[in-house]
Amino acid sequence: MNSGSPDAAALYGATRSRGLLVIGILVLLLLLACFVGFTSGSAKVSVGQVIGVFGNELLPRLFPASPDPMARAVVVDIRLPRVLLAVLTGFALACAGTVMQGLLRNPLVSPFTLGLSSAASFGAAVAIVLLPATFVVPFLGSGAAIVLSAFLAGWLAMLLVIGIARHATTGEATLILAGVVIGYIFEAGVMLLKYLTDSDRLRDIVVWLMGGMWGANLGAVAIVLPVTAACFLLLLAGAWDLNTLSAGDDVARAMGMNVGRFRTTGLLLSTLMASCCIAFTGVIGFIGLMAPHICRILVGGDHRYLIPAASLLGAVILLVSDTIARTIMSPVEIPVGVLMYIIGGAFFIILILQGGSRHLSA
Amino acid sequence: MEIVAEGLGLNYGAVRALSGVTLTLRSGEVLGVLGPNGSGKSTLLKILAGILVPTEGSVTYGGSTRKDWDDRDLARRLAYLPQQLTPARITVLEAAILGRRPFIRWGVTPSDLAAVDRALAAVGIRHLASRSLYAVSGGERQKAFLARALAQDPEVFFLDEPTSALDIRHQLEVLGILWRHTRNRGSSVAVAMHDLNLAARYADRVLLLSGGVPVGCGAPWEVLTPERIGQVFGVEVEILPGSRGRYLAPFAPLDKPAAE
Repeated sequence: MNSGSPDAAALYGATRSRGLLVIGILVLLLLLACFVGFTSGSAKVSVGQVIGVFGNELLPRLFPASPDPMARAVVVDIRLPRVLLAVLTGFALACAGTVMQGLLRNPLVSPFTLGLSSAASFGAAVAIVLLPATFVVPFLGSGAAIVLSAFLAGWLAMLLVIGIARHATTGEATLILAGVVIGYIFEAGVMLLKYLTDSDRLRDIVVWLMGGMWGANLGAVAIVLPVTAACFLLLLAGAWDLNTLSAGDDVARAMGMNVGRFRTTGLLLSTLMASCCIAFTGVIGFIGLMAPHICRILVGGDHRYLIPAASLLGAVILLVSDTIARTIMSPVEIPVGVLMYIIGGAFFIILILQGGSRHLSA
Repeated sequence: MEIVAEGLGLNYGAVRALSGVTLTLRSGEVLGVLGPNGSGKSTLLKILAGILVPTEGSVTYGGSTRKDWDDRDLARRLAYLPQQLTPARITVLEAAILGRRPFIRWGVTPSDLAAVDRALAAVGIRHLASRSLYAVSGGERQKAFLARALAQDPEVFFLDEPTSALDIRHQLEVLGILWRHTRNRGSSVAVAMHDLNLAARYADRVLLLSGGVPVGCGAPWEVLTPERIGQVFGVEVEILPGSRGRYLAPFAPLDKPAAE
């Protein structure tokens, strides 16, 4: 009767090829965007110089010619950390967003839904406004104090949310509501600090809230890289469990999953990777919400392909936006969010108008 | 695999949802779980499927408790179909592949896909495989979830109103598929149902629940007497002889006059 339709194996094979193709294209795009990132900026560095610099650093036998020291300084000391931080942050936020949407089965969830961004902002504001008066800042340096304070506050919010949800009846809606409410409470703290402080510190808070790659250095990359890589691999290993969860908690339990433990672990890992990045960059919205949606349209709902594809897309979006943001009005940098929210938002509205909205319904 | 439940009881907070259920689900039999809304059918199935932990009593699977089983090993043998089907952003094919989840580590093998293909064909939705679960009708979605259970090829099915969204023809088809599965493969089915006639026709035995308490268990027409149906459902019924067996005809709620 249905002999005309393709069998399951053919259909599955087609979906798989498509997923792998999208991932392959995104890898190439990311490499291309990295090269553009290394070559663009106020100091002129050619593609040949970039290759010469990295060749000499990584494979000195093949590239014996010592590069122009100016080019080396610009590429390795200034642009490399910035490009890497943008790649890692975009990657981590998109990965965390994809996993959280799957864990909570809600398309409006992002890494920031559960109060993470408000709490991290509060942590940063506390470090900017209150900590200079204490021994912490002279001891750590004000940059490190802001990073640490934002990171810890983000974690505090997540533990509060999970703690509250444990005591209330379990359910994704309770968890999300608890997160939103915790977010408001920290938001109130940020408002109060902004209102009370002087104008210099107010500017510092505002800049942090806008987010950007200003704080990029190799030390930041050395912290963010292993955390992002480890969390990504652990979350990817749960891809089948995330797929199973889409059939409902009860079905997942009947299949032997410990749903509560899986959800809590997944939320903690996503929070860890997201909060680790935004502690250095400030709040970077949009990617964690939109990259998963765009990739769901491209590769479908199988998390084995969705998680890598969305993470790579997040990295591409943030790196391209940051490269444009620092060059378009050179030497003045504009905040990366300004471009990303406008271009990305317009792009997503087009997707919805073209019928992609089916993928939004939950 | 024989499943033995003894003295099962469960409280949801202060609400007593189930008490004193003792039953054996034998290999190769279809057990209909019947009763009015809120009588504990879903609760019983969830306890048997290992989703809820009973407040009292115990369940053994092939003689061993859940603790003695390897989670994955037991999950391969039991399939559960919930009453509320969560539509998800996946295709019908992906939903059916989930039935192979307990067998899959990372990659999906050709034999997994062959089982999925057979299951989709068995419930007649092979042509919908590439559609999103949102883009199919309620009945088709129910069949997609049923295909998931069939693709798993389990020893025991726990089905919570698996035909509630299907038209008459498809109800008969689906129950026929399950009935044949028990006869051909020796698997067993515990199925919660509202249609007493379908239950009487396809179930080998029925368990009748009322307010969380079992009030009858045995061959369908021995349990489903007009008096007992009147007590449990509050409905006046007559059992009529038909050319292919008995037929239960409901008339009116017992405490309200029949509509003319």
